[in-house]
Amino acid sequence: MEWIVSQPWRAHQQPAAEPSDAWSHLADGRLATLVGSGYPEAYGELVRRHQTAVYNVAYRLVGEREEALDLAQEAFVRAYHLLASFDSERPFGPWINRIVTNLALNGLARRRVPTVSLDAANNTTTAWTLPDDSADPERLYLQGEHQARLRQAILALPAAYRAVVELRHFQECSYEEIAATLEIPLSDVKSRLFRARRRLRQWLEEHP
Amino acid sequence: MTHFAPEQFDLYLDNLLEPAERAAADAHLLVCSACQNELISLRDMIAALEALPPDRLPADLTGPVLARIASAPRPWPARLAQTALATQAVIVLALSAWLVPPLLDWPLPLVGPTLPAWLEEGPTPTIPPELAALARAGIAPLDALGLWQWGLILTLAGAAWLVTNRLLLQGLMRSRRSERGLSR
Repeated sequence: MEWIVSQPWRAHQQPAAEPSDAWSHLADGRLATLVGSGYPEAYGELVRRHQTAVYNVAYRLVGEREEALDLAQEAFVRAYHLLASFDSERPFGPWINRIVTNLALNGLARRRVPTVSLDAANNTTTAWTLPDDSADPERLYLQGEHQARLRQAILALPAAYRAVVELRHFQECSYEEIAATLEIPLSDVKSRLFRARRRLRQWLEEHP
Repeated sequence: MTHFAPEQFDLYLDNLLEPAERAAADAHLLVCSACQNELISLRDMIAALEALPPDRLPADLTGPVLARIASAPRPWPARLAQTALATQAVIVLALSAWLVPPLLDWPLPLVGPTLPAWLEEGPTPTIPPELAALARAGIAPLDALGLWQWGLILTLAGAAWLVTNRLLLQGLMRSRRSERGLSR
């Protein structure tokens, strides 16, 4: 079995070998290269590694679990067919996250996006404190409520603002990367992020 | 320094202020509780947002994704379309070079007023007899074709060429658009 360790992409030729074990120690870039070299099963390992993150990007953007799951699946299928354009020297995670982000945004653009009315600006500042993460049931309940409220606040944003919040705060993109992903000028990134953060804060203040 | 401009809070939190601006902002924050409160409020809101834990994945996607990949017809890959177009161009050029000179009884078109004198003085290059014979043998069946048959062949060939190229270019453009739109 030693040869399988040194050549894990041949592991599928051995009936006893577990595919996930065979691929699990390979880096993302290597797996992507192997997929392009005729080992599509290596893609399964890439899906296993990134599916939670990809699903969560979609979930934060669309707010529906079923829809997020469908979008994540679609993103992985499309990414497979675009794999030839993926630079295996760069990380796979951000690349697939951008794909699902664009898919979700395209979907949001085609339907009416629910927004909340945020009228007069409120200059009152609120101290944002994170709930204690101890195992106390009441604390856990409050924590769950707090997280649900944050998700609702994100979903209350117009899609254009939701996108910059997702890219900046969850995918840790620079302003330049956001501008490139959304194909908007840098000045628009700044203004959208500025407005999105104020709207988020205002929504949270109005929905304690 | 006067109070922060509204967008300065964001630039401060995103570490996008120039060093001099940052120093001035830090100095201002020491003496201005209003700007301090605004900054803390935004910072804490952002921290709460970024601390949002991931939702639990409702179902493993590996199987469905691999099944869909195995069953889905692959779109025209850009590389295949490019290769097909390049091959087509090479074939057209090769056929032209092979068929046109014997059809028109040309000598090899290397002699002309622009050629250097030393080359003009030399023997006139022609197609080697073996190659010419081979070319004539290749096109001999075409001699028997009448005008309407030639017309039909050329029309069909032209139509096939246009349709194939349209499909190839369409696939190439779709592939490019898809890459640009999704993997930016």
